Amino acid sequence: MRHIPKLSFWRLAGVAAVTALFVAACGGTTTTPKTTTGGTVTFAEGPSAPPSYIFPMASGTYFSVTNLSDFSQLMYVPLFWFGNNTSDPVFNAQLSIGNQPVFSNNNTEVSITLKHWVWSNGKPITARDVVFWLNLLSAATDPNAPAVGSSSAPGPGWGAAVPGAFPQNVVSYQATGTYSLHMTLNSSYNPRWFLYNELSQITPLPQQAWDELSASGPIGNYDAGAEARTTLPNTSPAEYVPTNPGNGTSGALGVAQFINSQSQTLGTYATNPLWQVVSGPFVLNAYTTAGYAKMVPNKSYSGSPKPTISAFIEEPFTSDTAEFNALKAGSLTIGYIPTQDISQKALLEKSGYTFNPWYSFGFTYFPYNFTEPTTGPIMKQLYFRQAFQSLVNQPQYISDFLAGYGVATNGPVPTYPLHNPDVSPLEGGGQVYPYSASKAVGLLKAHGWTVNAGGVSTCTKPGTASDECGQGIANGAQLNFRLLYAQGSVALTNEMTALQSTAQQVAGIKITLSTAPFQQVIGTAFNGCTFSSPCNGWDMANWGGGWVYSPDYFPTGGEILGTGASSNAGDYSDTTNDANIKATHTAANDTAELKALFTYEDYLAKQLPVVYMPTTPYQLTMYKSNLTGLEHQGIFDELYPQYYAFS
Amino acid sequence: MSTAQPVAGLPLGSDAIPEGGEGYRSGSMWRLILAVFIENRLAIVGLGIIVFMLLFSFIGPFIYRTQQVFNNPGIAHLGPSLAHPLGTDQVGYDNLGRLMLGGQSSLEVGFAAAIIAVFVGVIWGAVSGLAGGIVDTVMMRIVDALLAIPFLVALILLGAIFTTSTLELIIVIGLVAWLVPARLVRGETLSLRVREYVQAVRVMGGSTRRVLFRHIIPNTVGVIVVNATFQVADAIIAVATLSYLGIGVPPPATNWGGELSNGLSYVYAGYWWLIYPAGVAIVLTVVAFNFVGDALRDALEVRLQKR
Repeated sequence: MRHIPKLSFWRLAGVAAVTALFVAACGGTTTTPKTTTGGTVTFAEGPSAPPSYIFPMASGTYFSVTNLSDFSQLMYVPLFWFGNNTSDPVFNAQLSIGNQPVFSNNNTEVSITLKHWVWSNGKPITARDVVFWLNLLSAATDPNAPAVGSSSAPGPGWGAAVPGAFPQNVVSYQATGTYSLHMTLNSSYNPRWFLYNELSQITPLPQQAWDELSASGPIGNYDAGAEARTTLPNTSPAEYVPTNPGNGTSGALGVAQFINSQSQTLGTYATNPLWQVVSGPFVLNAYTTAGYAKMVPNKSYSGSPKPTISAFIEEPFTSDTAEFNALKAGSLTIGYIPTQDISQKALLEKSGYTFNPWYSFGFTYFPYNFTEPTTGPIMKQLYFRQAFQSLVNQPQYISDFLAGYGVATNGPVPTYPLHNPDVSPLEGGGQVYPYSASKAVGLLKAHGWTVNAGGVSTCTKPGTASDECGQGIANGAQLNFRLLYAQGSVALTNEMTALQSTAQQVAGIKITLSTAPFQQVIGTAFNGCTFSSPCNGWDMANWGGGWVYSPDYFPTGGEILGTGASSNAGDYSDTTNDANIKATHTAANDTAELKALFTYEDYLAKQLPVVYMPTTPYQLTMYKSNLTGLEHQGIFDELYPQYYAFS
Repeated sequence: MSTAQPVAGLPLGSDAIPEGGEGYRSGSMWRLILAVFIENRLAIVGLGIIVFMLLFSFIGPFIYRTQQVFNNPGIAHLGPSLAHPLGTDQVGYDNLGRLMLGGQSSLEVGFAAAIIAVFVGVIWGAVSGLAGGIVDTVMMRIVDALLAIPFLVALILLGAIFTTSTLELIIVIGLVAWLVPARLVRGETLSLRVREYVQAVRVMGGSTRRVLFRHIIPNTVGVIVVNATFQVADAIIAVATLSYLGIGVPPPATNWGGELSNGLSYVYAGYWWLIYPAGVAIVLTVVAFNFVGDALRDALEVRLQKR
């Protein structure tokens, strides 16, 4: 899901390794600090990025770390939890509601059993609650279902939806007992991929409290009609959708729309009875539309460990400067130090804070809007993307704007944790398209553009031959683009300003910058732009982060770069890439799977489907030194306040 | 209005002294205003600062040439030196040149927004005051309703709706700032419309338009001019505030508020040259306009003129 970094791995890792070796060599005994019960932990939200959606089934517009990993998931625990409060991007059975699923019949069937957890109202979390999610998901992602919602209030959806993937690759699902269910798949899939990227999407929802069509209506089984499935025509292997998804006011889609509309009513979050029935360690106690959220322990939480703090508060900030002022004032338990203030690190440490960069299993990029009628044809040209990427001076951004906390991004597979075996030699090596002004200019000139350095370059040789501008680009077309980026981060502003300047000065690529809050940027970029329904309001959009692989924990990229995927901003579409992605889903064994993954990432390292930007830690965390439980931070940007305690 | 006005502090020629009476000098109203104005030393200082800022912002870049379109992060955050008297900013722009560019934007917005505000406000207020009755009531309730919206909130709202450019900043600030001149002019108009000369024009069949544009508005010019100077100062602060809040002009354009906002991001890094120059420029310019406004008010207000 999309994240906004609040800020080289190598350097810090080296320090950590040396420290670990030193401790080990000394052979000293470690002492666990004595902790107390109670206390309030105040956590700083990202600049201009408050949580604004609570329903765990978030459409592309709301599909962000801010809304899910750092907010909703504290209340609604996914069926399968990934991340283990360490730096390992792995399945975590302890924190999951479900037990490890069992694949059978050549990996075409899956059996799932649930632990005996309960909702905060005391009722058991059952297979029916899982089926409830599946019904709502099936209806909300059914391409044949009636359209619901509007551009200003989008209907229900799922930001991780990929055509032909979950749940369309499920022939049937049904509860086989109170705590067990069974799925039949439409093909044989790699179990790791299916668990990490498909089953990982499930979050049990309280059917006994949420299965309603209006706030005043009775609870029913309105979703049940979506359980019967039918095939989508002309699909191979056959893809399945609900026979009766319902519509905006009835059936599963009606239920999803009702909950979605409640989630869009921010002012009622703390009082709406819907949100008081939770499965997670915390329940919402207070919320303001500015993004202030106070959560208190769910006394019925069935997982372990159980929260010991008395409250967890998320505090909104309009800018990282404002956040840092609060950090300096000591009013935050967990905050972050903006890169421009890194010189204050030692001072903060002296005043009782501990520095701990928060690394993510993701990569940083921003998308092109390939559907834009005027500029889309230009951005579809590989030579243009190569030229543009050659103008992104990643090493300079890292040294000048990110205080050294970043690594150059070459492709879509995360380079962290260190020595990630999923990173191919090509992606893990030097930059595939390093900064090169001459190369950028050369590429444009070689493809029919008259480069006007300092001005605006124009196409003077239209056509589709190899030395011409390319399909859909008219004579006189200009390299003139609009780039929307998230406000509030000084580092991001500096990066965008530098890119704008370089692009025009060197290659005559004019970029008009504009800013908006984080939620508005992702709302623009993920507004369902497709070639049949193009968006012409933006050419490039940078929400200041990229993608952290959640809930697609195995980084095969279908959710963001597959054709038609909900979180494929700008609708990048490439048949070779689609085939490469598909190959990672069906690989028969680990060796074949790794080979398929390398093929996928190498192709995209060269194809540049997005603009790769330096990948940075999610944030440079500063936390009060008397807070325990934060030694490790979630690699999927998830929070674990149930581990927090004051010593 | 070329009647003889009492003038104080001027040497009186012997042939001009009426026996047994006060000293008078004949002259135009504007000469008298100027005389009172130049007596105010703060006003002269203010005027000097304004002229300096105009020259600094608009002529300065022709003398001190810097690259203000394309940045150079390789020389970011350099301290003051001979090469860069006010150092460089976070992306390597020369800060002195940046200050000049920012001054252009700030002053352009300040003057243009003030002109819009005064133009709209004068017309609205004069029409309202002259029409009276239900028209006046409706027009003034609209003004009251809009005045009830906090200035900054209205600015932020409009700033968020419009894409920010210098032109749009001018329009946004102008749209919010016309309310005060409207009320002032309406008040003056209520007083002027019952004067004999206005009555006389009406008796002689003068049209409402003639009354408005030949007799009412010209006689509110004092109020208008004084308010206009304050409007410029307010507009400069408004654009600085909007830019400080991140609703300013996007790079490479800039203004003093944006410069100050950028600089404050580095307050803990000790880059003082990014903060003080922009801050001082804003303060000096706003204070200068207020000095001039105060002096103009004194000069234009008959009751405050020495006799």
